[in-house]
Amino acid sequence: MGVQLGDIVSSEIIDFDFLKGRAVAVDAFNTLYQFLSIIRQSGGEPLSDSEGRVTSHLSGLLYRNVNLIEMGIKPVYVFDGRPPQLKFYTVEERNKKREEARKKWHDALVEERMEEAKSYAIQSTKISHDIIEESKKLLDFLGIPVVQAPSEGEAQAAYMVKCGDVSSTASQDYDALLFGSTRLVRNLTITGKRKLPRKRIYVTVKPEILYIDKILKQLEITLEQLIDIGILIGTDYNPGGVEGIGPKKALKLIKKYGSVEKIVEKEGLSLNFQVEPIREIFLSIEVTHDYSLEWKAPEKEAVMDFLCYHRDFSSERVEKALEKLENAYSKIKGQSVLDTWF
Amino acid sequence: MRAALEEIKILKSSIDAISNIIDEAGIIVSKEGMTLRAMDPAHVAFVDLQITKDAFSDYKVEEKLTLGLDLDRFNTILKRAGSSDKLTLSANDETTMNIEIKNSSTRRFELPLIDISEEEIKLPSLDFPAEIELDPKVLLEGIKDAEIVSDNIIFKVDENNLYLEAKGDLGNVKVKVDKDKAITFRVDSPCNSMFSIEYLKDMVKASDIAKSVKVYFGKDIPLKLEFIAPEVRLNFLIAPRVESE
Repeated sequence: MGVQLGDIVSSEIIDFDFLKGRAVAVDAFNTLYQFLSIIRQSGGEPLSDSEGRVTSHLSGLLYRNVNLIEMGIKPVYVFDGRPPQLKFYTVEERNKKREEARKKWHDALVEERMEEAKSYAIQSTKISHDIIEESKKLLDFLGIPVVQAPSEGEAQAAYMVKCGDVSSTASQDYDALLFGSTRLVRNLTITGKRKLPRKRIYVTVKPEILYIDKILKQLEITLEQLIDIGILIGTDYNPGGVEGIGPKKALKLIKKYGSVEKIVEKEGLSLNFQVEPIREIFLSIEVTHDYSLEWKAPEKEAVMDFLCYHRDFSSERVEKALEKLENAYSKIKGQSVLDTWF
Repeated sequence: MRAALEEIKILKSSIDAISNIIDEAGIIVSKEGMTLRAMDPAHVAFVDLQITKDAFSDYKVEEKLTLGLDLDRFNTILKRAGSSDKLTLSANDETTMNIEIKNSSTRRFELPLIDISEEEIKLPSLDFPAEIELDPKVLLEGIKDAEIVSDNIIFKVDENNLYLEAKGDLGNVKVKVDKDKAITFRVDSPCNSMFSIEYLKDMVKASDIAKSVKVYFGKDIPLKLEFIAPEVRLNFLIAPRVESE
């Protein structure tokens, strides 16, 4: 979901090495959503324990973070708080769609249409309260910092980049850019290969970085105008945006007239939403400075107890992952950066 | 620009030392010589290299150029040159660099250059309580010894000695260098700091260009290595590891 800016903003493919030693604020909901939708079996069922509770998110968090920390990257997970009032409609619509997908998934399973079943299963992915709490608990045991945003996680992550506490945000969505994140990394928490939706084609995904200053310079617009483009094509706060306006047309209009209000006036459009409150969300949503970024050695026993004893993970595999994590952690531990002296 | 080099070791060893630490950097080519200043992606290490025009047997620069290099590729090409070969670097603009290796044959490599949008980095001024000049071999061997047991090395001094120490599960290593065995030895106060060997072992690859190396450090401040060689300035800075718990 999020703002579909992909067609007009350019990114640069990077190596994981590029992020070595850097702290990255990961959009937790976005990442959990990916784990829950991708880590599934052939009929679309998520991984689960003997009591039928989903474990895809825990598996994703464990193995992905071991990989990241092994590469010298220091992740911090930023969780969404209470969404802005304007988002409730979107949230409700998504819930409805999920419910429909869930029904279609079961029908497809009964009729043994396995390909379709998986596709519907992915669309029915939902992040429950339990999933959030379990994820925070596991991250804590792994020694990875968690930040609770007062409202939107991407806004909080963007704020942390602006403060210089982390080097970039990580999310598949472009929204962090509109919240003012100077750097956004995509494809950080997904593995090397991704299946194209409804096709039997796998593409190799490489991490990419987007710099807001480069994007604005290239498009010859301001951040406020990029936000306006988002509003025209649709955000989580005005889904769908203005009918008939996609990213390219929005860019053209903004460059011609300067702002959404001017476009409305000159082109005689009528909007079914208010512009200013949405702009307000991107420019001044509530964020917090109440966080501490400290990466600690994993609490091995707590992880083993939680994952293996309570959630039926293979102790052999978890033990191996933890061993890797401990080794990787000892490499990043205590290493200061030169910035302090420059 | 066009620059021919007969003592190719200075360029080969310097780039060999740098290329493992820094992936991409711009070499600024001016009338005075070539300079490269860059920080590694993790901001743990900093490199400051200058090769003055006198190091080259032939040096022509009409206008200042910034040559954006993929250092790994540049290093791979330089490695193809033998110590008795003559090397010529040339570029007409900031898009391509030609590297010519001449001996019994003439081999010419075209290296596409990359866009480097790095702003110029100013060097920090640091007060180092310890400044010790050594034979580069002493440092090189000490780091190799430490690597046997650990990923980290401790630089430590008192009034009379420099110590290089490493501690690991597989044992400990302690290298002692007597004050009299150092070329110069200045210690204002005893101090020690720990550093990652991963970076240091690359930096000391430049040892063979220098007659001596100056080691500057203190307590939980960066360590500076200054390789002393005629016509070349090669400095490294590395951020300390701060012991906690």
